[in-house]
Amino acid sequence: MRKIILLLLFTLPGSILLQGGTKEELIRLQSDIVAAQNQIRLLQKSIDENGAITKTLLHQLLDLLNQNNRQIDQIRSYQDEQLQSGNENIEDIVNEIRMLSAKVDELGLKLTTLARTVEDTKQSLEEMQSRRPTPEKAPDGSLMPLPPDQLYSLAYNDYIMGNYELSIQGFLDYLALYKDTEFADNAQYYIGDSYFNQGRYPDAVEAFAQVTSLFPNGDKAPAAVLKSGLAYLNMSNNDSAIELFRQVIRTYPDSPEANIAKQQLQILGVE
Amino acid sequence: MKLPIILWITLIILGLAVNGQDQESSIVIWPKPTEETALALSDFQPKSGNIDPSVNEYLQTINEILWEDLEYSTFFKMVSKSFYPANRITEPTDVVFPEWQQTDLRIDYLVIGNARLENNYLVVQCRVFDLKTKEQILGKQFRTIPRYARAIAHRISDKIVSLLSANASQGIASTQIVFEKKTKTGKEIHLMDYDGGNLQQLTSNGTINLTPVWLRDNARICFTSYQNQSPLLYYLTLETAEMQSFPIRGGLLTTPSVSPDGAELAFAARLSDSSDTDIYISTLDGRNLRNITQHPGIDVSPCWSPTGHQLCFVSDRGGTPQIYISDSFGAGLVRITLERGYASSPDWSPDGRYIVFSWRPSRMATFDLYLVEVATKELRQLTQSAGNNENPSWSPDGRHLVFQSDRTGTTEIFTIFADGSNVRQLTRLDGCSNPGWSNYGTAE
Repeated sequence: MRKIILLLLFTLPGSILLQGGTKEELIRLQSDIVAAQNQIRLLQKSIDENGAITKTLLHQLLDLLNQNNRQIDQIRSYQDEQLQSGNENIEDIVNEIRMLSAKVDELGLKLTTLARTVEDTKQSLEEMQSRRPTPEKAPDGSLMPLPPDQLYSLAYNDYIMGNYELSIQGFLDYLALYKDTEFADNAQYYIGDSYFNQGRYPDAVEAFAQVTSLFPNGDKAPAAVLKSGLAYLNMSNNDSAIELFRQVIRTYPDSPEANIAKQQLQILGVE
Repeated sequence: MKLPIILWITLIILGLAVNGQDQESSIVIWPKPTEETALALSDFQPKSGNIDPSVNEYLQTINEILWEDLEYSTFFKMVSKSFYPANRITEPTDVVFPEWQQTDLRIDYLVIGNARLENNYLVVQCRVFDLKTKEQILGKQFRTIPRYARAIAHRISDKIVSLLSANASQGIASTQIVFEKKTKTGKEIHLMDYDGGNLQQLTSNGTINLTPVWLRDNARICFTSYQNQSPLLYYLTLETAEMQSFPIRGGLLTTPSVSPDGAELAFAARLSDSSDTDIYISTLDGRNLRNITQHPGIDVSPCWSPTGHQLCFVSDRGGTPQIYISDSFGAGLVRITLERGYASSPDWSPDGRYIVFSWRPSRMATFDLYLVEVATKELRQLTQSAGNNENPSWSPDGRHLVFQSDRTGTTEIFTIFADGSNVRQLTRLDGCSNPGWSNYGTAE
């Protein structure tokens, strides 16, 4: 068993990669799997719940049966008493029988509910199973892309956790699909910052330049210019760094980044 | 053989995670693994030939502490001792495998051991067997003075966790916790094991000592002290009790945090009377000072992300104290807590995905621990309806948190699993606060 699991662990993903192709499809697949997992969890829950209901009903059923048996015994002994004493009270017996038949009706109702519950469980099980393995497809047969917030969160999570190759690809995917959304400038900025944190300063400068050219009024523009300056500083190109720090102060005088730029100029001994 | 569908899905997800990421990400605490590793710990016995009966006392300590450590690690289901085969196990030859392999026991691994006293030294041998293959997968001998029996149990636990957790943890049983404790004259820094044992007082300057944190090598701590009137930062070397003052001075320096590479210190400071309290970063010896929060408002409690490229901190620039993150230059500011209320003391999880903090939502009277997922800003409440719960600090494996709570009437130190379960009280001393969990112990 252990060996088979290990084998699967190593062979499965490879085969998926071969068949799949783009990272986006993998992400899509991953999210489908998570969705399937959730559905199974829901199903499990529903089965558990239905199981509990069935159990309760059965218990109630048994209780009622026991109660009826007791009552029948009571009636029998009562009848015996009555017969013995010679004072037959037929009316009482009729009442008891009525009550008994009402109980039997109630039992029947409970049985019907029970059957329906079992049927429901079966149905939801079938529904879940039929829904599980088919991912959504676009009309042309390709896989549907992730919604913008999910794609962005995935890429941002990779950025925060330091998986920069993944965050760069994730934000590029995001921009390819959703370049007109509110967070497009952030995505472009984090591509630059992922390069910056990897020490790939020329790539960082290029990506940061696109923040200011594509989204000049975005809230990440001051940070993009500042980080370009810091990238040049790390490449020992102090002249370009100083020019960019001054550009932050000039263009975005009220931004927090302007104060950071001033501090950097002070450290460099220029004002 | 047919695998259950849930196992298939788990395998596929695992496979994707392995193939899809160049850098391996840490294990997430929830959802919990569906299959737990079942571990049996057969009581360690006196080694044959041992003639000193006092070894039994140390063995009792080791057997108790080792069981607690392994159970608390979150990696194992400990199989109750009442189900074990009856014979005592001192040496590997005493293990009757068919008895331990009975299917109704469902034990994956068996831990056995023995101890003897030899020239006033305690010598403990420990072995772990994989019951499926009958192979010994760990064999280790420890030799120390008997006073350190607890420490030996902790080290054995860490060896086992490290071996059987697939690198998810190096084991936290040998880690320690520093904290402030109220005294008649102020507050002194204290130290204890991760389970509350082995309490030691570290400072005794008769003033107020606050917010202790560990340096990356676990050899020193850094904290705020009033010992020279104004609140400044100091380093304390644990082995020698030597104090060293941090060279940067001002009206207030507090809430230090050491960078992941161990080279830089972030701290909150008011360096002149005219400025407000800001977050500064410098090297450990005070060089290359820079302010990363040049913005009106009070900024405190910085904490580095595991990559060292970001920091989170508390700022009241938006009106009430909230959690923000920025990069280590102060650029790219993002507010993490979106709702109103009072947020404080953030600590970034070792895998980078979460920030834990204490929060008093508006209209609430008490502080509770919350986790926020940094990427989605989704919140998860960890404590509730149990007094104030504050100042959380992550264990190095990201599976536990230590924090202070006044749920018992006095302020004490507690630990909790990172999913909010298993609260454990560590102190009963009245007035303990601001715990800081150490890094992993230095490997042998």
